[in-house]
Amino acid sequence: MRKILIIEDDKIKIEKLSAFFKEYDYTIVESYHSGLKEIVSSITQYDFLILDMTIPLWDKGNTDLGGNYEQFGGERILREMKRRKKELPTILVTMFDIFSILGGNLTFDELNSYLKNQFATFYVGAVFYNASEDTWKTQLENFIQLIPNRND
Amino acid sequence: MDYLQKKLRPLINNSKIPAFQAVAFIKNDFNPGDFETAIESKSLYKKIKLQNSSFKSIEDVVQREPFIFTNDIKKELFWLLYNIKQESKKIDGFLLLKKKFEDSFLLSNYEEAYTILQTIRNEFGENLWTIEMSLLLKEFQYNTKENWSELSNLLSKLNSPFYQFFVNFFSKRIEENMSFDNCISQFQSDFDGVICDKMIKDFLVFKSLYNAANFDYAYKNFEGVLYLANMFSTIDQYLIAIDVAIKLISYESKNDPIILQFVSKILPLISNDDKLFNIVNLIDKKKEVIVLENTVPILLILDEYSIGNFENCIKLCVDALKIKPSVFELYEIYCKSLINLNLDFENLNFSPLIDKILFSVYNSLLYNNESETYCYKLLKYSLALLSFDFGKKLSAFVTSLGKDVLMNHHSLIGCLSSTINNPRLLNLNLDSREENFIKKNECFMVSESFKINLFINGDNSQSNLIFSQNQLQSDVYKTRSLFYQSKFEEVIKIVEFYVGKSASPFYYDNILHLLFQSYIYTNRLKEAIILTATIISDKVFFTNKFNIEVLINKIQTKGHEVFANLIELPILFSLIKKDYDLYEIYIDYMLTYEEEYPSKLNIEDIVKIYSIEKVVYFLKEVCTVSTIRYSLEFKSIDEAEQERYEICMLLKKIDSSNNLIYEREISDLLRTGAVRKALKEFNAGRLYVNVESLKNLQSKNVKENFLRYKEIEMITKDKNLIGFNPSKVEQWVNYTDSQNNSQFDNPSFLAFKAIYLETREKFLFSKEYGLDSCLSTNFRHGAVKNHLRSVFEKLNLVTVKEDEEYIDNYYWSERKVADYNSNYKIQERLKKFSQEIDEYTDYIRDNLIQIQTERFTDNKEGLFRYFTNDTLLLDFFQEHKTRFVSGDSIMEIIYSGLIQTTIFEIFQNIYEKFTISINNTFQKYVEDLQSDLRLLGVSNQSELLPNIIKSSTDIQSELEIIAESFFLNTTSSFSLLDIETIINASVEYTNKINPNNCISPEICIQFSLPAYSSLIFVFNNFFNNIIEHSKLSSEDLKVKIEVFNPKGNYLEVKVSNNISPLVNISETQKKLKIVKENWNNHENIERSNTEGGSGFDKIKRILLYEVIAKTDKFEYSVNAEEVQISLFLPFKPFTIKIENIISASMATYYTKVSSVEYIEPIITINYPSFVVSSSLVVVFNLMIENIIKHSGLQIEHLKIKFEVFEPKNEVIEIKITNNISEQVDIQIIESNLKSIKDNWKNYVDLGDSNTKYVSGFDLIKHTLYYDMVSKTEEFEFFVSRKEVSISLFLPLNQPENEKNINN
Repeated sequence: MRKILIIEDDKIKIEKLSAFFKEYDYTIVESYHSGLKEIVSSITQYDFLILDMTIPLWDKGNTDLGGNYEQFGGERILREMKRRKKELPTILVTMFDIFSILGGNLTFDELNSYLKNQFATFYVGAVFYNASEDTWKTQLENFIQLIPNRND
Repeated sequence: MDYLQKKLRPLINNSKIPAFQAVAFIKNDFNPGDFETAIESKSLYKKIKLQNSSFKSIEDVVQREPFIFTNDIKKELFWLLYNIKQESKKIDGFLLLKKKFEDSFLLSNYEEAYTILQTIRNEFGENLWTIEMSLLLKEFQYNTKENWSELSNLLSKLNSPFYQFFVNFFSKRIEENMSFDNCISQFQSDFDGVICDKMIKDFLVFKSLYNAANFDYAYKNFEGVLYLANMFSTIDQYLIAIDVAIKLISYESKNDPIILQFVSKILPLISNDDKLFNIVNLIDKKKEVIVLENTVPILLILDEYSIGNFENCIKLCVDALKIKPSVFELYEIYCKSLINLNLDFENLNFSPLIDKILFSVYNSLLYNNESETYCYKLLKYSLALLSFDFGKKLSAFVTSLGKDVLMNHHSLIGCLSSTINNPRLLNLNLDSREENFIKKNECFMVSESFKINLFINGDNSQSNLIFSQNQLQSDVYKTRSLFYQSKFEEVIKIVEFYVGKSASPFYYDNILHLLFQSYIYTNRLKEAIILTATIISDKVFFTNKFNIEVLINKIQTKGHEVFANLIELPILFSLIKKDYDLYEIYIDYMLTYEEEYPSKLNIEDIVKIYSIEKVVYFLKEVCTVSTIRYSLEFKSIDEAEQERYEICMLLKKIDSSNNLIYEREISDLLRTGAVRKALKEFNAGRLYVNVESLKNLQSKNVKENFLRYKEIEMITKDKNLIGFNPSKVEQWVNYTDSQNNSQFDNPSFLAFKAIYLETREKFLFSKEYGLDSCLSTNFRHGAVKNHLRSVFEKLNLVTVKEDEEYIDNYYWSERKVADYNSNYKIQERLKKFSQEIDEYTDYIRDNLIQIQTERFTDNKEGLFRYFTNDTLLLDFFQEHKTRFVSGDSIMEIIYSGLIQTTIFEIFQNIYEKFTISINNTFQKYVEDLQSDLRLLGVSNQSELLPNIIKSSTDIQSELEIIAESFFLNTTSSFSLLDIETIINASVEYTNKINPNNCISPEICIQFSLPAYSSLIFVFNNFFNNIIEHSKLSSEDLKVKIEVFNPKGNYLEVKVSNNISPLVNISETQKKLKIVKENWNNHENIERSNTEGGSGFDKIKRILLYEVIAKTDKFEYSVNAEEVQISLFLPFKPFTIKIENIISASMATYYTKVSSVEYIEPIITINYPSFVVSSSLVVVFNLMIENIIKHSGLQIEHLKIKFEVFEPKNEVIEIKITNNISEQVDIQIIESNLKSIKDNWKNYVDLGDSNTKYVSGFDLIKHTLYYDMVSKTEEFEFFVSRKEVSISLFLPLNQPENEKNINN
């Protein structure tokens, strides 16, 4: 059975992803720190990573009063994987189709092409998650099919 | 001519064309060269064209007709030319007097300047320039008040929006005490408020901030500026036209032919404007160079400087400045000469203004940490004097000190505004004009400064070039020349020698800049990194000329990993990168030592490789929490902050001169940690039922009922014995029907049932300690609604109601998230969303956070469901009746059951309700809003959609936090926190739930005492009242909290705030009077359960039953500006047992130290009946702080022992002992303690409690002496290699102590 790591903090998304991956063996962690720790210690156990973009830095209870949200925490996970040479095939699943940045917004497509360019060796693609629609499931399925089994 | 006449004839002969229109037609359709003839073809045209070209008085000032906009630079220039030529005599006369005015002004001869200004007004009328100068004189001759008064006078007379805008800003830009940055931001604010097209905006910037440094602005073009100049007097038109010409020249050479044509026409008519000659000298290829009047005498001084005769320069400059104060070059040469000779600055004493400017120039050229401040002062002077040519040169000078990409442009403006033929032009980029300009200036090649500038420009052909006798100056010139010729290797060879050597700072700056640039050009990135980091970490020398972005781009292209082993790399990156971007660089460096804790680095070894300056900079600026928090070593923010704490402690050791900075940061870290810890505990203990107090309340009744029950039991003798099984508690609830069972009539069961129902009633509805009171004060009264609303408020998604209508969401209307029509609909949709959120949160508060029982069924949706019936009660009764051995035991069992039901079942239900069903409702509101707004065409470029998406996750988190806070607490063992932490936590908490109305109170603590964390609610209620009733925005609201020294049995806490004039004072007074009158009336305390009741009822209840700190005193005062309210907490001197004080001290101190487990001290009490004042907490806190500071040990390795000995001679010894690190220098500790002991009897320096004490022991002495009246003259200490002991001695026979022992 394929094993997946999911880094996600949104409860509803977690529910939907859990349902989607019910046939898989999956682990869910909710922050940059717990996600990265899992990748560093157990990367060989996983086939791929489902990554959210905006995540808290630490798990709940360990953060600052404001929650230490990292708008691009997902991108930082990708950078850490590259830096540590722990490259796990990654699919970004985000509910944001626009990201606010200094001096304007970054669209989903712009972000996706930036990530493809920067992490070409292990970044598979991005899925726009919309809770009220199911199209994300098809997109996700398509990306998953591109990822070989870890034992292959 | 024929052609022109042909074109003119139909215009002149057609009487149907209004003259006004005809003039506009001429401007639009005729060649610029024909304007003059065409206008003069009819006297009416001329009259119209020259109409209102000057204004006799301010009242006469009007906006003139600019005619048609041609969008053609030549047409616009030549259109102005006509008026300028017509009034050239007037202009020339004005220019002569303008020069005299400026000289008088700079010489601080304001009377003379005023007389000149009056002459100008009388002779040439009013214009923008005279208006500005009248303000300038008022400011400098008198003060800002006079400036404002003149501004008010002018604004009342000027109707034109242009004049009003300029006059308003001129008044600000000359205000002596307004900083440059503030002035620019004031301009930006005024400017942003102007609704007009780009052409007008361009004009406003042009006239307000012409060549102001540090202000980037992209003009659309200058045609519009020239066009709008027509609206002003001819004198203003001239000044604007020349300024535009210089601007255009400074950017590029393509407009030179047009400008030359324009200038050539006025050159024969105007003789008093050096700028005209400078322009012609630069752009006219044919005309011979015109030598300006000041050139020869000033060049002599510049030449002296070029060859290094600095002493002579100083003398010459001083003499020249007295008669030529507008020649900025003299200021620069004078100051540089002083610095080259290593001389201190001295005032020249003939003009305070000149001295001030010189002083700033001198200091800005020292390139030290202060230089930037002086640069800003110069920038402000340049802004104030921007209408003087001097101001434009000053601005260019300041730009040359930095790394402005437009430096060449600024320098050109500076040189063209010069009153001399400026040799510096030779080393600027003159574009295509260069060759001709050099040729034209050959006549100056006898001048050393001209020769040197040409040499710097890369011309080696100069014969007889005399290099400076100053080696460094000479080398700078040579290397600049080599650099210009791209001989970077040679530059490096010469200037590397100077790095780190003592040198004149501005030449050193020159050299470093050349070296840096040469490294960049030769791709010596490692050297460039090391050089930059060396300069950055240098505490003495300061430069901002390095183009660090270029270097960083090159490093990133090559891959920063190549330089990972250099400490200089993170130092360099810290200048422009932060957070994870800096972490990436930082961690690569740290990993070369295989270490992720900077505090554990072997500092001595690293200092040997690099330098102490670099290591300090690295620890101070790179290893901050925002960087290190990405390391996997830190499992929480507390751990990251703990590491930063260790880093600061390390910095204190290795950079002791900056101890104050590190101590401040340590104090901030401790404060933040304590506040976070306090809020976490406060949140966790929010739902609190004081069961112990309830039991006490019930005790008498239950005892009575129990006896009755026992009596009945004896009679009925029921013997079904079953043990108590808490896991069965879920059977308690949700039964709504009673079964027909004869046992229900059993009298002992009924006796039990009466006790049970009374107990449940108390548990749920006791007005003092019950669950509903707590739900009311801590949840329903604002908290839950505010928490939920704050999620959407901070993302600007909801607005408030005013007069039953939701107001517009200005945040998004200002940002124009869609087109006009959609904007209206978007506003309506956002209002609907606000309404949905408010109504739903009201529903949660009013319907869900409520209690239901089978007897109390008003709140049918209440989540706190405590239903029971006879079946359930009988089961329970039969299970436990054997354990009903006393009144206390029966209460214990019933309360246990209620608590467990609340914790296990009700909490679980509430948690699910909040995180699932309530969350789903919010998600639906958010989703609907999102899809509606997308349909309404919200722009992808606005932040509105990302904010809505973000709110979806944020509300989930908030609901989870709220759900968790419903976990019931029943113990009264709240943390004792110090009052300052409580106030800080209250501020943080209030700001969290009011994100758009944050407060930042001034906190003054005279007396620190420990208190329960519930006091956070008291302050929160206070702050909410202030936010709501002060009617002031957070920017204007000023809140002050003072905790005074205790008086008698009271400790006063005063909260003051300013109020808006809109506040009805008599109404406020009336309300507070009622609060005061009812302060000691506790009968209606249940009013605190009524939502919407007064916040003071809640405060009363919390003080009375949760904080257990209510006294009978309450004071207030209200006046037109301020409201002050004083609460009085109880202060009981000398009533607390010494062991309790020790524990409280340790606990309150540890709440300040985040992430550190509380370590129980060893406490040995040999005299247990000793009672002391709570002030002793302050003393022990200070002792603990000293121990932590000086023990050299990590807190977790500390062992602290308190011993209280039997009294001897009426004195009690309290000995505090702690272990110390082997690294600690015990001789220093011994000597410090000896000095404390020697001074222990010295009271002279104690002062009052507001004195800032140097040592913690001074404050200990103060507290013992003044606050406790418990100081004796004894003090002892003992220091060994392993531990330090300090003994304080308190008098046993304190009057209060004896009394209390007896009591």
